[in-house]
Amino acid sequence: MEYLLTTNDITKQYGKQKAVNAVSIHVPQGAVYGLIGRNGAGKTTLLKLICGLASPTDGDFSLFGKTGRETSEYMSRIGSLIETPGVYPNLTAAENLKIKCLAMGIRQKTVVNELIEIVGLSSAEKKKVRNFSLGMKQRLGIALALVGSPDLVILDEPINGLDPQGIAEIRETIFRLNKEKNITFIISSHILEELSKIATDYGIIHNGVLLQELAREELLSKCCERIELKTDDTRKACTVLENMGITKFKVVDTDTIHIFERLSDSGEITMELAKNQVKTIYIAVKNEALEDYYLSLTGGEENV
Amino acid sequence: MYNLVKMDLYRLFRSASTYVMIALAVFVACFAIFMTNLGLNMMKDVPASDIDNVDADTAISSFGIFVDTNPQWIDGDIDVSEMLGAQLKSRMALILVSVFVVLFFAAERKNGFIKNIAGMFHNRSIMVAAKFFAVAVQVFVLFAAYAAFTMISCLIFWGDRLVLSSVIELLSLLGVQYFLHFAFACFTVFLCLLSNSSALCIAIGILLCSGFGSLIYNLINYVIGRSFSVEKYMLETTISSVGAGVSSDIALRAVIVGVIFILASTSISMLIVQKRDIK
Repeated sequence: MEYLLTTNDITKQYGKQKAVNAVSIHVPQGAVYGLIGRNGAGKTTLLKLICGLASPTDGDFSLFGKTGRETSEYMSRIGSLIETPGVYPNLTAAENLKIKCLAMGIRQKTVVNELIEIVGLSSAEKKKVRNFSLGMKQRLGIALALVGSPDLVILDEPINGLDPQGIAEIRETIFRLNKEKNITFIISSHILEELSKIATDYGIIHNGVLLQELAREELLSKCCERIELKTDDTRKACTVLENMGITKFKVVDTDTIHIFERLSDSGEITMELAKNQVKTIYIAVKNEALEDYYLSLTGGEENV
Repeated sequence: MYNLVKMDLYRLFRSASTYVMIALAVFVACFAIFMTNLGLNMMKDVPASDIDNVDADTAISSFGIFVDTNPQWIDGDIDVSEMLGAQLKSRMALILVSVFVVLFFAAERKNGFIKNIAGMFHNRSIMVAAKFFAVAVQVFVLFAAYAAFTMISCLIFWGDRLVLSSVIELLSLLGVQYFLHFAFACFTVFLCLLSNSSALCIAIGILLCSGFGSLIYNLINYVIGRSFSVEKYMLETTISSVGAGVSSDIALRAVIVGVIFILASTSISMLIVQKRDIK
């Protein structure tokens, strides 16, 4: 597999504390890499090391196959939004973008307007950033990360503090840029459900150590994504499922069944149950399994 | 680096603080001349012997901000260079430099914009070099506004008595004083980087401009020995010693002090930025 970025036992130590301890991640070209970890796990420090904002105590990283000093000429191919968006509050979105364009030597006048349009800030073009909502600032932060058409965009907790609509908009923007412009993303988050909707690869980090790295398919197979079904007659429902040819299911309690196959057939299941006089109280495809899996890796719920 | 200079200059002229700085420079320049005129009018009523005593008292004081007045200005001609030199020696413009340079420099670190660009440069020290260039422009704008409005105010108050004895003297005064003000700006930027605190840096700048550095300098002089005078080699005290018609020895020493401060501040600041992580 072709990796755009790999870290080689990268370590960052502050005093006696190792914020990042010999982490080796592998980010494939065109991936949306989800970096999962609780607050203080070392996600931001790792991302700062990759962005060049901090120097590693030990180890290094390879970017486009280049390592060490050779990576320096490719660092401008990385766009980043680390922690909160770094913007000048007394300037407009366009002026903030213009400043970064000037720093990167970008002279095309259309770039700023294009970026404003991509992140959906056209209506607030002339508004000072100090009057922006958190979601708008976050989108401006993403626009700043996109200046210079980077190949790799690093977003640290991009949906923190956003309302559901804002989260959906950001998710849609990332998805679109990944598909249309083939931009590789590294997104850190502790909101696992949200990350699971978009990430193609995952790295799970805990106490500065990378616990596991896996592709979406591997994670799903480990997590056993399932249909959660609640009925008024569990025994009869089991018979109906068996008659439908569904064998991978488990009765969890008196009224709940977990089904591990044909996850897209929940409508069919409901109709079949209804035909057999079984009332469906609740049915949904559940993603919490990712959280369960994460908890099992990191050692329990007290860590979240 | 050229791109970074362009970026910093764009921000400088888009920033509201730049225009507040210019407005304050204009106000301070006009106010200082107004107060000088008031002082000269009051001195008209004081006997000449008492004026000498007042001057002696003022000379003893090393704290605070004050404009040295020449008793000849009460009735006689007022030389533009001499008046401008007296105003610059008062370190009022220097206070504005120390405040606004820090505000400009610290802004991108305070709001985190630096995180958007710092990673792109393997050699981050060029960011400091570009910033010092922008600071040179900022100090020039402030200095030009201050000097221009000092002269305009002089013209308004003493138009008929105002004379310009030597253009070269005026230009050399402005040149040396600008250079020293810029060196002080570099020093405050260095302090800002070192301390990571703009408030502390502004406070130190204002205290130095107000003459509080002499407390430390006296202590150093005491420790080293009576023959040594450390204030001769400090920026703010050198600024106070360079007026119109200053001897070439003092002017040369002032330029050397300025060069040393600029080189030291720039090189150490570059080293700090290169070695330190961006927060």
